[in-house]
Amino acid sequence: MISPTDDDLMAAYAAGDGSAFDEIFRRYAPALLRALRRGSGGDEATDLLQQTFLQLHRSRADFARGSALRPWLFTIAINVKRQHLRRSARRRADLLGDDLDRVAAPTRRSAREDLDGIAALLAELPPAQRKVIELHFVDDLSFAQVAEVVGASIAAVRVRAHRGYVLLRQRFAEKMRTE
Amino acid sequence: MGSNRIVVRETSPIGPEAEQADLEAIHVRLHGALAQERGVAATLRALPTQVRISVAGIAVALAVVLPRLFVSVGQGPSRWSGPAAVPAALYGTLLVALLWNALWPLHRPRSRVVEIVLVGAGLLIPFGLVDFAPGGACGLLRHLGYCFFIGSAVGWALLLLLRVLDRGDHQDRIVVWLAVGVASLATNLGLQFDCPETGAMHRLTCHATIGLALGLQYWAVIRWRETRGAGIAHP
Repeated sequence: MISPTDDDLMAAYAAGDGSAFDEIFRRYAPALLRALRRGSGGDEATDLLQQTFLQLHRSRADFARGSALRPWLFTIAINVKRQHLRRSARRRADLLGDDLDRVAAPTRRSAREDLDGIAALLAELPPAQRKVIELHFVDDLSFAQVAEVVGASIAAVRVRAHRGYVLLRQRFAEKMRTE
Repeated sequence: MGSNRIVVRETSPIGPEAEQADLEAIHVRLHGALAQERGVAATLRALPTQVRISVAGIAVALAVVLPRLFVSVGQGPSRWSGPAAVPAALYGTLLVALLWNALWPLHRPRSRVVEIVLVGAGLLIPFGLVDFAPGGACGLLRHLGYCFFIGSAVGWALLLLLRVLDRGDHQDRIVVWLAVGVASLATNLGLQFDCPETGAMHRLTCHATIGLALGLQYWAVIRWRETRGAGIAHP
């Protein structure tokens, strides 16, 4: 049996088919939860995911047929998370402090720790570059989809990604040398 | 890149089973939350964005134009003057921009800078363009009370309508201030043309201050509700 496209699912959901919502949740909730967990606590991320899908429900009449659902949902998630971070700016500062502590602390190296280090270095990139790389590298969105999510041209997104990747490689190399 | 992507994902402290359990719990909670999405407010905010903006636009237009209809019916044409067209157009343009941003859908990227500029304009333009229109033709508003209180009442009605049409659960303060900006400009535009009192000092103190007063009043109400445990965000 051919599984329905995102487009079909959203059309069905807008028409009142509740099972279409469940299928959309099954397809996208895991990736969204992982994206929302970056820089947020576990409980916060689950709350934010719930809010993201609540917003999907409220915005279902806005979804244009032929649009890509994935960047549409990620934009909602980013905006929901942004609102949340503004409300808890102090907590965000604490989390950033934790990230920096993790980078600074001397530890026994392992492949896993190297990649933890990359995640920490990613958190230190300029926000515009970090957002593009998170969406492209971690969330596996295409440059066109990333451009749609961040509201910039594809060319601008490519430039940001290129600069971000270069900076990330340089900083990771420096980090490896100093340890 | 693909392998890196996988490992970066694995840096999450949550394992796959725990993540699956989280997702199932969220799914159940979501069904509960969706069951609560009923009633007039839920129906209004689930309307397509263009329709929500149109509903709010009609309300704004009524707030601006309705007193003028009374003026025209009762006393003939008002004293509209040519030079007032440019400031009035500026008010109108800002109103549209504020309205669009106050009801901005979350599936589109937002610009914080634009929002802050618009809020500033919505609250401060009435102080800058304080005396561009010739005032009311018949003094209708004089019989209804002071314009500050009338403006505040109309502003509150607009503010509440915009809050109902907003989908964000009153979470974002800047969105509240955008709605306050809409109410500020709409009431000031109406009063510019219909208030019989044309002195600059009156317009500064009784018209231009309406937006700031609305914001403070809304903030006070929300604080009061928070202390009673209602727990919604304040501007």
